[in-house]
Amino acid sequence: MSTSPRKISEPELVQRLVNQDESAMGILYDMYSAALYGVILRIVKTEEIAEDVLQESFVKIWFSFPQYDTQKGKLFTWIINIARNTAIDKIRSKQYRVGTRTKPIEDSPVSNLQSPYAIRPEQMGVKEMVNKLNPEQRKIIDMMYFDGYTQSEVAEELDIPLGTVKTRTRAAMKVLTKLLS
Amino acid sequence: MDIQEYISSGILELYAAGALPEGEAAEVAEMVQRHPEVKAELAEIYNTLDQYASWHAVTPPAHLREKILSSFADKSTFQNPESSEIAAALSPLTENPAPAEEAVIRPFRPAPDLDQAATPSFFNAKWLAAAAVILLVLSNALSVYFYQNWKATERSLVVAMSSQDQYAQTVNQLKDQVAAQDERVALLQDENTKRVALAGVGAHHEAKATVFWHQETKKVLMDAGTLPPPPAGQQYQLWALVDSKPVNAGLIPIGTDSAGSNSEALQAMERVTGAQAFAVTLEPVGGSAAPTLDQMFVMGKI
Repeated sequence: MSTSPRKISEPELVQRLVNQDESAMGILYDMYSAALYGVILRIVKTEEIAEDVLQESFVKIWFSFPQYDTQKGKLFTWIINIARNTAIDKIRSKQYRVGTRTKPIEDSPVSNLQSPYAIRPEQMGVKEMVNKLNPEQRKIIDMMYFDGYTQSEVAEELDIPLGTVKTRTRAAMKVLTKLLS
Repeated sequence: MDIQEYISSGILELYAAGALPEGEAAEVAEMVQRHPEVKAELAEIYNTLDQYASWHAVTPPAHLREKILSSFADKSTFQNPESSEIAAALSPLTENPAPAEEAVIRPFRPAPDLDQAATPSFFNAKWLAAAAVILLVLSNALSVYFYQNWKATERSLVVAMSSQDQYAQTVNQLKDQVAAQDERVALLQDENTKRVALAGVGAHHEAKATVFWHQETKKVLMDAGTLPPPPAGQQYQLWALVDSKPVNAGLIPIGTDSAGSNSEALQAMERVTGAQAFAVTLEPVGGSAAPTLDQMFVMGKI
């Protein structure tokens, strides 16, 4: 079994996964496991749970692949959302909450931006980029994207109207897009 | 509704970040299907979020790769011994588990005979060693066999759990729908609700529709009645006549199926205060700021 990372084009990878080619899972793993694991770790916060969630995510990707529709978006978007939803389901599940619910506010996910997993970029220069995003803007995106808050939960937590959640999110996303371009 | 306004409202960003309630998310999905510019904007938002996600990349521990990928290689483990050292060592056994079980029993039969012969010779030790080796091989084979079974079970469990999730989601959607229906029925039964019959106008004399208007809450429900399916790219819009001026009272959603039928009998419209009449006109999809009067289909005074 080769350990060097293999890369193939997205359409080819999709075709092989559609054909239930198991070896394509290895390629998918090599190409995307770091991105998925990073996001999962950011959501669930402990490595042990993150490892389980990563495994569960790959199983879901494999079994629900027939539902993937290239018309609706990129493969990466689809798999990152599977990993994200699996991880968010995990932190919202009963067993997970029992232990965390009574923790003081300082430990709530929103104020956790300074945790070691908040940003652990492996690329150079990324940290500076992230810092350009103002903390308020990052917070609103992170609350939804990483902590699974709904629009109304964000509104409640930040004590702002529902419509403001929309406009702030849009503004934040604009800045983010600009930073990335 | 103006598309540009829709795009800049921020609803697409919330949709992409997964923060919208299911009902609203379904509406966004419909808009994305219908308007290429909405679809393009959403793709750009996803692109940004994908890159943002990638910023957080952390390489998972090396041992995970084998652990995760082995659950997909179950079938091929047997066909392709290279993929697992254990499988390679045991390939003759694992390829066909049935003969392996037969091989177990044989070594035990000669053993009592040897004991009776009472010759504690190297011969005896040799048989014992052989039996031990066979037992070891067998136990390894069984380990692999049960390990594979366990993995398969674990996978089935994940699949079962995810389909259970889907059922739970469906149940929730149905609950929401029932709650919405109950609300509509309550409104219809309320004595403060006025029933306004809208009759066909001009060439559309055969068309009929009904508006239910609650005087206190100002809520409006609409039964599209016998309005013909709108032509492609057009949509019906309800107007309230307030102080002789037309006020937008909302768009009548178009059923997306090929028949173009309305998806629900009663549609909740915008709230209306102080109306003297209601009318429905045909407008471009998304609606207009002012009614196109020569496209008026039905009208009714209060």
